[in-house]
Amino acid sequence: MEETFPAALPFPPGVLHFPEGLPGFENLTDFTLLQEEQLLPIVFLVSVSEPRISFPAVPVQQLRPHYELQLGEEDRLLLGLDEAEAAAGNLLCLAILNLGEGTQPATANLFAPLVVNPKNWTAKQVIQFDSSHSTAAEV
Amino acid sequence: MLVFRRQQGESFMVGDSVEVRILEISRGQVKIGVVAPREVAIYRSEIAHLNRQAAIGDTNDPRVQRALTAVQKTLAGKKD
Repeated sequence: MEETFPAALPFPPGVLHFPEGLPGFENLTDFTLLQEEQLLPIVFLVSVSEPRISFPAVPVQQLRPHYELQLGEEDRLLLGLDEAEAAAGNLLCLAILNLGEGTQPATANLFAPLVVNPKNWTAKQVIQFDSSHSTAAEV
Repeated sequence: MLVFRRQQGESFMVGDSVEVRILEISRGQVKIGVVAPREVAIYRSEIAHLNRQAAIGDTNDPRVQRALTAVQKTLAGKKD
């Protein structure tokens, strides 16, 4: 049942579903994961209901290869993961990029990554309460 | 309203569980750190604020394209 997709793209195409929406955009629950080969590893979450709104993001592992995700039980259940799946660590984890304005450098939000269950594409922005990760980490 | 002064590096408590630290003061901006239990909603409103800043209205905007290309180059460089 494995889907095939262009080998250059890190993830199969699909629509991410955020049951709670994104903080600040609670009404936007579904985002297409757009990937353009020339901009990888940057990917885009494009709102399905408001296609003019999109978020650039980067897989957290690209920025911090040893990033350790904290996932509470409530979040685990919302994503539809059992304990073994949550512990296995093969979840898709994306950091939203803030491109900055003018001469400001781009930053990544490592404090609140987007966590995706790759089996059902359910997602949530999960705040890493007990971490020292920055909301505006240097890229 | 309670008004008081703090210098850079100092902090104050709100109740027993919320500590506000003045991390940095420069050029009319104050950088504030908040240490609070997870149920305190400040985290969520900060994340909402950051998400609104990060949202792109038009990915074809040349400024957006330039910024994306610059980030992409930096990240590609990191891999080596």
